[in-house]
Formats: sequence, structure tokens, C-alpha cells
Amino acid sequence: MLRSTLFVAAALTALALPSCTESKAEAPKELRFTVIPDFNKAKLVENCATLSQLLQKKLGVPVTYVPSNDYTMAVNALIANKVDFAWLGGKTTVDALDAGKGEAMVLATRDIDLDFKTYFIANKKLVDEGKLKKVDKLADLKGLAKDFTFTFGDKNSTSGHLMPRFFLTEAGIDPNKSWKGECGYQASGGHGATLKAVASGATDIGALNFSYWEKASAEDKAAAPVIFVTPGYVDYAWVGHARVGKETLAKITEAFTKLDKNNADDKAILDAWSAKEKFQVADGKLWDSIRKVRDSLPPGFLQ
Amino acid sequence: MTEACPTPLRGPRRFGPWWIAALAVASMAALSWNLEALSGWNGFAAAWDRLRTYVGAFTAPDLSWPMLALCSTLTLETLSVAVLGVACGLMLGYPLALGACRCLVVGEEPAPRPVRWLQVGVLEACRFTLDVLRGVPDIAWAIVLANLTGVNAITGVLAIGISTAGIFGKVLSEQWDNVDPARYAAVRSSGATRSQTFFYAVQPLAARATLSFLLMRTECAVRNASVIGVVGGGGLGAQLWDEYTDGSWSRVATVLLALLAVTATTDLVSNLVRQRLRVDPNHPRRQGAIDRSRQGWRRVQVLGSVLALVAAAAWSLTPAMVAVAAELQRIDWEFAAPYTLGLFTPDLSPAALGSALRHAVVPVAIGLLATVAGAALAALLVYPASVAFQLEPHRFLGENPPTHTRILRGLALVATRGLALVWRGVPEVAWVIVLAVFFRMGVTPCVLAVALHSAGVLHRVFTETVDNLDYRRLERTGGTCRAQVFMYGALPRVWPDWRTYAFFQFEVNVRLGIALGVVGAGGLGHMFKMNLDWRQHGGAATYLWAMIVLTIAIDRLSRWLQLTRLRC
Repeated sequence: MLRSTLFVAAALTALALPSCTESKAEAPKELRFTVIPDFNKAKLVENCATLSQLLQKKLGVPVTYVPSNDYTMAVNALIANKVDFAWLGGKTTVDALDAGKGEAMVLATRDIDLDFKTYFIANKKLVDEGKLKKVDKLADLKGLAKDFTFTFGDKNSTSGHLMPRFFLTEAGIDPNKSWKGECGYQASGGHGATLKAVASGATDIGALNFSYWEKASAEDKAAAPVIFVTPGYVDYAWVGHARVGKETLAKITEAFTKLDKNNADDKAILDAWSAKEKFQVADGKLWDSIRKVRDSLPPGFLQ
Repeated sequence: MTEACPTPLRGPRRFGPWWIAALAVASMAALSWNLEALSGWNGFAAAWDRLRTYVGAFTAPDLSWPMLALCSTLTLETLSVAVLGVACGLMLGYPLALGACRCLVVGEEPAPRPVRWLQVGVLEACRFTLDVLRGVPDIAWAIVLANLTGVNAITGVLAIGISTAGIFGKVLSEQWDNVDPARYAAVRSSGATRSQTFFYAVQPLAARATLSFLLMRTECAVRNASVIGVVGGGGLGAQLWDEYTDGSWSRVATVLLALLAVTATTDLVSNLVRQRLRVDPNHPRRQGAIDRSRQGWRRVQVLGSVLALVAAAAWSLTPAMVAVAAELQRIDWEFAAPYTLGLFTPDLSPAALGSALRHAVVPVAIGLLATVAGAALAALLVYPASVAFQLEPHRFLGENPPTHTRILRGLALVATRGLALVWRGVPEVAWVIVLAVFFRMGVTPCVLAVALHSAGVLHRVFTETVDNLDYRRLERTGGTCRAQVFMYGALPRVWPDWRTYAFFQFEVNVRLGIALGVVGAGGLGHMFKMNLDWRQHGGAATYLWAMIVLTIAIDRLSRWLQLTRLRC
């Protein structure tokens, strides 16, 4: 009895599978997305729930948020068909474009992402005492580096780790060796952790996502003032996979780019995602510069 | 008569304290200590400030209703993950243990050559499989699996199941092979086949030790289940890590307290049960004779409650199982197949191998230092925590201390035992999180975390060995004071056991060193994760296999040193 049931089930699955692949060109019955965990996860889940609801209304199909535990998992989820589109950082966007072998594409990006920045922040006490001051170029910190401790974000984070590492190296400061002691980095996501470490004085200098700092509490901002702003670069993007069909991807892109700051529901999403005015269409080629930065760093760069 | 005893009983090989000291110094040199957070008075003051904030948060954990509700849900999830993980581990580990058991698979009777080759082939294949399952720490399994099964409690169950199977299979097969053949010679001589001898004699003879070990593993699984969430396995660990990265100390405190409550309860319950499983019939505190007539009924009761527990765990994780099934059905095998295969095809270029070798130093150094420090700390606290020496010395010394002395001794006993309970009750990753507040993330908090944790674990087994000594053996050294009896009467007797336990802990600690690498200690675990993040699956595979090779090397070393397994 059990065996025959299993057989029927297997036969049904076998029948159902090819029909699934064929129906790909049609509109999918459900859409799934993930986001990289780059700050407080409770808040992230809340934001994603709001987004699911809104997109469901706009696209007419259920939209589900699938959590990812780290940056790489978000990329793998997109490639492995666990999700249809994903909110990725600069480096992870490049990872997804590469691993997607032409199937993955940039759908939309925030207005701020085309000119994204990293802030170098310092503990207020050190700035007040005159030991550190705002600089125009990172090379000015070169002589001082050995007297201060430094921390930055997750090694997969573009704004929190790769870009500051790149700019430091360009300025002749070795992120691993030039600072006092070993350079610390937050093991997970953690722009918030960097801000807290610098604001509390646990670490003297830190580098983080400028948009996170701008949105932080006035108290934290005062305790960890900005001492350097990096040149702009491209960063976060919504990346989709072609297997849901180009039409669906176009619809998703449209849903994002048409979010309107004057509409309360839309504004909630734009605010949660820290977009200034809107999401906009962007060419994947813009991320080539990030690819160069990523490829200049071998996996062993932290040792 | 010498021919009658084919394997002469030899003590373990000698390796002096000098060797260990030299290795410890080398380990200290090999690690890059991150102490700059404490450099100078300012650094220290800042660290102290951070710790005060933390301790402050601890005295005022977030006890709001939603947080408590969340913690209790997560606690249940953690327990379910542990129970189901051990059940899976047992199902996978038991058949492999049978295959890895020499007395069952190979035996001692002569066999034609091809048959013998087949037998040895099966034996070695099973042992190697167990080495692979055990060599990769559960955290690394969870990282690999989470990319297929998603962020889910079932990922935790699978990761814990796999590593439990590896450990359980190995220890079980060793326990069977360690049963003295003389004890089942009668069964064999009556014409029983190899499998009959095994199932009717060998397995029952080792049953108590097996059960005792199974309980210990369950306890470890609860601890591991509570941190596996850090890398996507669900439960309390995920919450702990989120609150930590977010810097919400009062919530970290709540989660830690929940964690401690779970692990401490499991610890105490397992202690109670293990006491009933004591092998030694002459034990001073052995509970009355077992009533054979009621044993059958008791077995039904125990088996029934265990099955009910597993069923409850499975039931509570049903939604997670359904979710995983859906995830797996969706998965594009064009991604999953190369991903999985990639992890078994290492990059074998000399550069990659050299790097793996260099990075293997970190977990070994962490393991060694932490074991030495932990064992020393544990040994120091055995005396005040020993029931024999604090509560019942009158039974072998004839002294009759006044009541207030007895009360003081009792308090010392409870205090030291409580301390050790906390040390081992807080999982290593949680200790790292606590210590990183003071030292910042890096090697220092990791070594200290593993040391504290092993001190807690070793303290229990060290104390147990002392308390398991037959009082009659201590009586002979009577006439001297308590401390002297402990030093010269008890210590020499338990010393070999302590060494065995410490070496076993070393093996565990090296694996912990690898696991903590992912969190911030560097070394193999870190490089493994980095290569995965940089999508160099061949590179990641090299480090994964380096972990396995390291485990096999330590295992062979312990066999060569003839440090036999726990006798429980």
C-alpha cells in the first residue's frame, strides 16, 4: 500500500517537474526575494514584510521574503533558484552577475547607489583633544595610523570593508599592518557595530556605510564624527534572475522604479531602504569598477 | 602462559610535562594575540568600561514580555534541534559504528584472503566515513548545508546529526573493541557466530558505557544546538548573534540566561541519570541493588519516554521540515551539483596546501593552550568540589569535624561545582561573545573561551573520577591530613584517567578552534569561510579536507600514545 502510494507520488512529481519548467515563460505563481543581512535583523525582517505586501499589491502575486544568514548565502539563493530577486551589496552584485553566467541582471538601484560613499569616523574625544581632525585625503592619516586602532565591517561588505580597504591601500596605508595592533573587523554585517565601537571609544577610527551613519541617532553621530569621506562608487542593487522570465523581471523593475515619494506606502519603502528620492534603472556594466576592486583582493587578504 | 594473552596490557606511552610546556610556549608564539585593546591605561580603562556596561546589562536583562516569549519559543526550538539531531546522529552513526567495529566485521577466526580483504575494506571505509563526518565541525557543516536547505532549524538538525554520527560512531566502535575478549570467551566457545557473539555478548557488556556516552553527547548537542544558529541553524544562537552584532547588551543577557538555563538543566538531569548507570558495583554511593524483576518494565518506560521526546521534537519542527522540503524541491541543481561536488574536489596546488598547513597551526595552538589552561584550572578546583573529600572524609579518615566546618565545606563544594557548571553551560561561541566585549574579537577571547569551557567540562569528569574511587583504597593512607590523602592517595590513582580525558578534550578543542575561526579566531575555519565567500569552492575544499586530515592525525596520535577512551 505504502509502496504504491510512493510510486504514485513519484510518478506525479515526475509529471509535475517538466510542466514546471515549461511554465517558466508564463507569469510565476509566487515571487521570492532575499536581502543581505547588513544591519539589525529584526528591523530587516520588518522592512521586508512591508515590501512583500507592497509588491504583492503591485505585481498581483504573493511575494515572499526568504532570510539569508550571510552575504554569500544571498548570492547562492539567487543562483540556486531559492529566490527570484535579491537586494545585494556592490561586491555581492558582481558575484551574482558572474555566477549567474548572463542570467542574472541588475534590475534597479537607489539614486544614492550610483554615488555611494564610505565615511571614516573617529571617536569624539580624540577629535576634541586635537589628536585627530578632518582630512581631505586618506594619505594625511598615514603618519598617524600607527597610534590609533581601526575597525571596519564584514569582509563581504562593499562600503564597510572592500572600498575602505581599497582606498586605504591606495593611500599607502596597509589596513592589516599600519594601524595600532591588528585591524579589527566586525564578523557579521555590522555597520552598527562599527559605529558603536567608535562611539564608545573601544576603537579609535572606523569605516562604515555613509547612509547608515546619516540615519543613526544624533547621540551616536556626535560621539563618532566623520573625519573623511571617500570618493563615490556604485553599490547596492536589486538583482534578478532570468529564469522567472524577462517580462516578470521588467515588471519587478517597474514596481521599484515607480515607487513615488508622495505616496505614503511607497515612501515607507523608500525610507526603509534609505533611498533619497527613488529607485532607478541601472546598467550592470557600472559594477565593473567594483569587480576590479574585488579581484584585486585574494581570499587570503585578511591574514 | 604468555601466548594466552596476545595483546599484553601496557600503560599509555609516557610523555612528560616538559613536552607539553614546550608545545604550549610554541603555541603562544604561533598565535597573534590581539591585546592592543588593553594596551596602556586608556585601553584598559576603556575595556573595563565596556565590561561594566555589559555587567550592568546583565544585572538588568531585558525581561519584557515579548522578549521572554521569544526566548521560550527559541529554547524549545533549540531543544528540538538537539533531540532530533542526536536521533539522526544515532541512526546514521550506529550502522557505521557496526561497520567500524573490528570484533564484528573482522573477528579473530581465520578467513580466506579475499574475504579478509573485503572485511578490512569495509572496516576502513566505515572508519574513514566516520572521520570525515567528525572532522568537519558542526558549524562548518551548517555553513555548507544552509546554502542548500536555507536558514532553518532543520539545517541545525542535519549539521548536529552529521557530527554526532561521526563522534558517536567512533566512540561506540571503540567501546565495543575495548571490551576484554576474555569476558565473552565463553559465548564464542559455545559456537556462537561473530554476529551472535557481538549482539549477545559484546554489545550488552558495553551497554552502560554506551548509554552514559550517549547522554553526554545529548548534552553536548544541546550546547551546540544553542550556537549553531549563528551560521543559520535556528534556535537561541541566531538570536544571540543578532543581538550581539547589534550591540543590544540587555537582550544578549536575556538570551544568555535562557541558554544557561537550558544547558544547566540538561547537565544536571544527565548527571542524575548517569549516576544510575555506574558500572562499578562497589561504588561508595551506589544506589541499592537493581531489582531484576522490574527491569523489563523500566526499559519500556525509558524507551517510551525517549521515543515520545523524539516524536515531540519532530512534531514541533514539522513546519521547518516542510519548508526545507519546499526549498530542496525548488533548488536548481545546476548550481547545487557543482557546489556540492566542488567541496569534495580540493585545490591541490602546492600554494593551497602550504596555506592549509600554515593555517592548521591556529586551531592546534588554540586547542593546546586552552586544554592546558583548562585542565590546570579544573584540577585546581577538584579538591574543594569533591564529595569524598569535603562531605564524607570521615568515612575514610575517621575525623569528626564540627558542624560549622561541615557547612563551610558544603558551601565550597556547591560554589565550585556551580562555577564549573556555568563555565561549561555557556557554549564556547557565547563565551567568545562575552569575552570579546572586553578583549575585542580575535585570538585572545577565543583561547580564553575554549579554556573556560574545557575547564568546566574537565572539572566535572575530574571530580567524578576522584569521587568514584573506592574509599577502602583511601583508608590505607589514613593518619595523614585530608589534603595529603588527596595529594598522595587520590591523585596518583586518577592521574591516568585525567590525562585521557584531557587528551580527548584536546581533540574536541582543536575542532572548536576551527569552528571559532569562522567567528573571528582566524586559521582554518576563517580561510574556509573566506574561500566560500570569494566563491573559490576548490580553495574552500582544501581547508575542509585539512580539517579532516587534522582530526585523523590527532586520532592516530592518541592511539599511538595509547590513551584509551573514556571508561565512564
